This record gives sequence, C-alpha cells and structure tokens, in this order.
Amino acid sequence: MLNLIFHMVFSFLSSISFAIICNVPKKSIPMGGIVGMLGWMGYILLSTNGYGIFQASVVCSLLLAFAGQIAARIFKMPLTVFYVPGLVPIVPGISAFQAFRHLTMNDYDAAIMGFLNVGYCAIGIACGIVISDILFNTFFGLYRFKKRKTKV
Amino acid sequence: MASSQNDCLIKASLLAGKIMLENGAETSRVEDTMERMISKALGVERNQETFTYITLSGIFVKTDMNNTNFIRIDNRDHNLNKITKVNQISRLFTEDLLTLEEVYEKLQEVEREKMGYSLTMKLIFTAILSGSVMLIMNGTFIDLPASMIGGLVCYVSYLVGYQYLKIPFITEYIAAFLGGLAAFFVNGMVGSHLSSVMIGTVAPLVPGIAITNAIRDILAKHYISGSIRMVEGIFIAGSIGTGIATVYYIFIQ
Repeated sequence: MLNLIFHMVFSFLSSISFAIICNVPKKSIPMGGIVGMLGWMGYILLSTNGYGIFQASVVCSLLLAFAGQIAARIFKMPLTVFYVPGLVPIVPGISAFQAFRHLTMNDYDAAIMGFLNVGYCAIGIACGIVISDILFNTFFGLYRFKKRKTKV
Repeated sequence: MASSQNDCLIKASLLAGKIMLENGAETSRVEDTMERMISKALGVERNQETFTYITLSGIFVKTDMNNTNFIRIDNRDHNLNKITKVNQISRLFTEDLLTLEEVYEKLQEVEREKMGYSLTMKLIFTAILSGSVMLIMNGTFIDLPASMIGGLVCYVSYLVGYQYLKIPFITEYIAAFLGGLAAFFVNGMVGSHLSSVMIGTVAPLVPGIAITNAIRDILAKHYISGSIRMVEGIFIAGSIGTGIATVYYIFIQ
C-alpha cells in the first residue's frame, strides 16, 4: 500500500515536470499529472504482478489515451497536451537507450532482449492509442456534430 | 470569394500549419486544423476535395484552381502551449466568432510571442523530473542527489549545445555524456543504484513527443512523416544510449 502511494506521488511529479519542460498550458498541468499517474499505476500494477511488458504498455497506453481523451474534451485542448507528459516513464526512449547501452558494451543477449522490449512497448502503445481512438470515434462521434461552444 | 480574402485565407492557414508543425504537433492534427479552416472559409464540405499536402519539411495549400502556395518548415521545437493556442483560434473561427483578418493577426501574435515557462522554473522541474523518474524506476532516496545533478547537467548542456552547435545528434550525445559523467561522480560519493540513476539522468532528453507523434502519424496514414519521426526518435535514443555507454566504458571496464 505504501509502495503504491509512493509510485502515485512520484509518477504525478514526473508527469507535471515533463509537462513543464514541454511548455504545456498552465491550466492543463494538474490534469496532465493525474492522467500520467493513472497510466503509470496501470503499468506498474501489471508489471509487478507478472505480466509482460507488452500487456503492461497496452494497458498503460489505453488508460492514458482514455483519460487524455476525456480531459481533452473537457478542457477543449489537443490530446497531446495530456498524453505526452504521462508517457515519459514508459516511452520506448528509456528502454531503447538501455538497449543501446548494452549493445555498445558487447552484451548482445541483453541488447536483443532490450530491442525486442522496445518493439513490444512501441507496438503496445500504438495498440492502446488505436483502441481508444476507435472506441471514442464510435461512441462519441455523434458528439462532433453538435455545436460546440468555446470561451474566448 | 474575393481575391484579397483568398490571399488572407491562404496566408492564415499556412501560418497556422507552420506554427503547429514547428512546435511538435502531429501531422494529422495540422491537416485537420487547416482543412477545417479552409472548408469553413470556402463553404465547402470537408473531404470533398483535398486542399492541403503536409510533410515535415513543407506545407502546400490549394484553395481553387489558381491559388496555390507553399511554406517551408525549418526548425522544430516542443511548445505544446502554442499548439493549444492555434487550436483555440481555429475553433473560434469555425464557430464564426472571428473573421479571417483577425485570425491572421492573432496567429502572427502567437508566432511572435515567446510563450513558455522561465528557465529557472524549467531547471527546477528538470531536477524534479530526474529525481522522480529515478525513484519510480527502482531507485532509492539516497540516489536523489546523483540523479538530480546528472539531470540538470544533462539538460543545461543540451540547451547550450542546441544554441551553439546546431548539429542534431551530437548535441544529445554530448549532453548525455556530460550528464552521465556528473551522475557517475556524485553517485560515487553518495548513492547505490547506478543504472536507475542513469535512467533518471537522461529522462529530460528522452524523445517522448517524437515517438508518440510517429506512432500517431503512421496510424493516420501519414507514412512519410511518421517514418521520418520514428527514425529521428530512434537516432536520438541511440545517441543518448551511446553517451551513457561511453561513461560506462571509461570508468567501469
């Protein structure tokens, strides 16, 4: 339990700080942090309970994209604003960098494992985005035809 | 449509596309925004004809048989705030709350404005980012100073190198190397988990936006932009990895 709270706090912090490095609008920072926290909780819960990196990143990306889509509708901002900060801990960048590190140190077994993990992770993220896009476009597509009001 | 207004439409949509693409929006979103603006101004249904062609290095716009224009995109950066602003402007335009001239003026304002957070704030949050990524990647609290200092050195040398060097991948390599060096030395004094510290150190440079946009572009059938971005992301990750590996080479083997 304490471990979960630890992960919640620090994934929230990492999301908001990456959001600030990417210059997101001020209004969206807390929501972006919560979205990122949700995604990382899905990832860490699955990967500590014995699921592979593919399942974990699909679930993480699904959670992120779903929460991000809802937040994007509420705040009337692009999805990227909420989605990107949350993705920073699981993005294939970190595992790709580890794989390259193993490769340059002649540790080929670990490098191959690493590159496979990068591929799985990227495909998992893509699957999550696709699933949430499809669900949102089928169920909430009607919403687009209504007149939307935006505040100046 | 009068020709002066047509010129204004072309200029406004090109500027909107340029701002969005330069600040890290995905290609499909740029196309969507531009086509919405054009079809609203011309009064035609969207997707009846294609009016735009977008790649990462240039945008083409066509409003009718005689009016075509083109703009070149040179440097790319990450500023999601500007994307949001352009999105709001185009949304207001499609809801009849702004005229074309006002849209063009507002877009020019957005382009000129130096939006974003101050450098000190960014540095503080870089340290927090490095520390918290290290902590959620199996680090312990004793590693905090190493990863925070490493992340700061990494980010600062990236910013300096980006201004003076202007060579894409070498900058990331040098930044990761210097950050790794700083993290290694601090970790030698206080700290235990070197690999977690290294992950935290490079967290500010990780190509998150590039890879996300690449996937979304490929899924939206923009294969050229998507594969270019994917290659860019892989190369950045590779140069960061080699930078850290150099530190390992020199000191551990």
